[in-house]
Amino acid sequence: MRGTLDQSEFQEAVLLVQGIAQSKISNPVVENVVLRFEKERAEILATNLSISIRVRLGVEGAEPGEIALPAKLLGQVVREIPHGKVDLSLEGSEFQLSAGRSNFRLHTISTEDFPPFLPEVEGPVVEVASEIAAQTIKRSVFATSDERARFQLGGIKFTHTKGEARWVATDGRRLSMVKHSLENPPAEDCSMLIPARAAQELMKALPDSGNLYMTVGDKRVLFDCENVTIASTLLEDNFPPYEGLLPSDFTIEVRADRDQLNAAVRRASILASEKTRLVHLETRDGELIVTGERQEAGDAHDELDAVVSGDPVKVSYNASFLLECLGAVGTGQVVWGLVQQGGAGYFSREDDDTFLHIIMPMTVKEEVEEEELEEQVT
Amino acid sequence: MIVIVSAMVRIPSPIAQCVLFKMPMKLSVLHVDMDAFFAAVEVLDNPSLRGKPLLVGGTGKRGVVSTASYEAREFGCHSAQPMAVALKKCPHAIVVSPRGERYREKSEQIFEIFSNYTPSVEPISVDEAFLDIQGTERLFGSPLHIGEEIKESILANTGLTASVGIASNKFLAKLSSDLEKPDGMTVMDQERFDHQFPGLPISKIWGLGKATLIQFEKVGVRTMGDMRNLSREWLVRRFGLSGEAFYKLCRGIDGRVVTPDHRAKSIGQEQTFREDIANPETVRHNLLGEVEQVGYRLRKHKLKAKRITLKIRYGDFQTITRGMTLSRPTDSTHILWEMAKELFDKWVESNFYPVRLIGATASHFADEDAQLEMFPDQFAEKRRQMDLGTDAILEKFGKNSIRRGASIHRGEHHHTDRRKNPE
Repeated sequence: MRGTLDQSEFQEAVLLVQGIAQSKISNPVVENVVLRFEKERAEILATNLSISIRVRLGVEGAEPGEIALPAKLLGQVVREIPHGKVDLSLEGSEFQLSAGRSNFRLHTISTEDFPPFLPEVEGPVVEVASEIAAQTIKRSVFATSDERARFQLGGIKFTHTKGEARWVATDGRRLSMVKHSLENPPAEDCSMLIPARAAQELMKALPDSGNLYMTVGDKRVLFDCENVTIASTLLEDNFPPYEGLLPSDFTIEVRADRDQLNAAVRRASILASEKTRLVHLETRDGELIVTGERQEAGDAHDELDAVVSGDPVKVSYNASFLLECLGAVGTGQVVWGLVQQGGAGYFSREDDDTFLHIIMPMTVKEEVEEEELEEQVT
Repeated sequence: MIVIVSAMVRIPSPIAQCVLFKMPMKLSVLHVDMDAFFAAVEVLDNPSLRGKPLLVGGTGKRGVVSTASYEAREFGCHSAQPMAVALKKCPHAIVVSPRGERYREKSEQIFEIFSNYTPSVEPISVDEAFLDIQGTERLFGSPLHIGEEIKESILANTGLTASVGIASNKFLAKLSSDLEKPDGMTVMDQERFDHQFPGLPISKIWGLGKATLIQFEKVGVRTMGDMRNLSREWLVRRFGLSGEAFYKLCRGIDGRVVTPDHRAKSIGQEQTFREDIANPETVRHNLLGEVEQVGYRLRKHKLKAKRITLKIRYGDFQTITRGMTLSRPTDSTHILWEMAKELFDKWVESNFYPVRLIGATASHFADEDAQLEMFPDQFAEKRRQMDLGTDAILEKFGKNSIRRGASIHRGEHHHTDRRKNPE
């Protein structure tokens, strides 16, 4: 086994697979990555048993063969090795990496014990522009839940219906929804619940141009783009019925500049209670007021211009939820709508009907200072 | 221009004032500790045991002494000692299995007596409590008088003896009750504090364990008086927060107040097995039983926990803990069990060893937060109803009257020792 790789391509590929090849005590072999040379190309593969990844890259002067190397160590070596061409060769059970006058010899292990990397997946193939897919995941994945007791909220629900794709994520307190149309939709409608982790890995791998092809199977999904293929098991689809939450008409609607609102919320959040992270949005004629207060510290008050329709309203939200939402809304005029007082808040951008974010309010309770229990010596 | 300079003056706490300025110590805290409680109850119910070395505790291979009678203590037996060790030291000791129900009954009588004197009673365990007697003098007389009356009343009503310590704070009161055990009555007044306290061994400080004791011995510190020669800085550098506490305690300063409704920081349940259990399924069954108990107690105390921790001890005395934090607090047995199961199964999958002890603890109590939910949890109400139903049956028919399907254990009961932490 022998061949020459480009250092920067090699490093990028190792970086992508390294995140997946993480420690799993139940099967330590998967802490390794597999390096495979074929005549025309090289492949780097890793798996954590539920997600697998394969990155392909160009190789010169290849003599086929495959070996496995510890992922972390390989990552460190490839990062530090001199730029330019890296010559790789297997001498006995030692793997040699040389670049310029640097030389590494690494112990290898056999690839026999590896579980199969990329399973066959059958199902409709959905084609999405890579750039749109990356942006869509970024705007939704943060709203997933990492609570293990509610694993059905730990993913992004993807649905294809008659040429429209919809990606929804929620942790039960807020919800992100991104819609877009498909240029070459598959004949059948389909849906799946993509684990947040798989979506995050995919986001890292997506190139700036080209297309992503998703093969939507019953239990698995296969993501294919340019040089990278990711396979993931799907979550059992018990996603909550969110459709009832989608708004009809707003009785209260506020339009303001996203950047100004974002800055105001950030300032107010400095004085939000550390425990509840509560900030308040309040409307007045032509103004939106953002406040935060912490009993023991003080309060913050910010005003910004806004177009307000409907009755005056004051709503409390978790500041972190608001900031993440505003980040996903993007620069421009943000629309904050309410169907009813005390109900969910709907956030979107005036000129963008592809994105909607819903945040449930917080009920304001008088904060009672908990008496600190004295540190027990016993 | 007028400049007003205000000096920051820190006024020492009343207790510190007593020490610093030699003000008379105000005797406000009573510590009552029953003498060899379990053993004493056994003797009471079976007078033929009187005067004999008696060990109350688990009788199995892994049994532990809960209480040793004073006669057995003379042979070097003490509580928390493995029964096998105790029996080596005192082979002719009589061993009796504990009868929790009976002890609780007696305990209730004793606490009833306490409540006659003050509403401010902080239980430490079934046979031990702090009483805040501030402001009760007009009704019941001097602290010494109250102490004596309580002792007499306990003896008259239960036939048992107690030792009482009276002092200006909890630390000194507890330390005092121990000075003249059994049937003792010790008042830590100024005179005793000045003369006896500095000579007491530092092992009298709660929470000062063997390892810490050795560290102090290395620098030649054996008594409270010795410890006073150490600077606060040194103590804090060496022992952190505990160092700060040591600095105060060796000067008799303790700011902790008697808290009648002592808020628990955790609720837990654990079992030691008679033999190491090599079958993970069996351990799992027992764990489920514990989680059910923890859930029941959480609901009974109207608490919700954000964290569950498992404690696993395996054969060679290695103990590990594995915990998981929830984003919202819960008192649902179902959710607690989901977490516990995941933690346990992960451990089993990674490295299972035969288990000697398994325990589950819920902690980080919190109120349900103010964040509204989007989707009403369709199972929440069902789970709540199920928990309520189970609780009602437990209340009526006792601990083992109802179990979840998966926790019914086929075959013999392995547990010998169930311990609860204070609620």
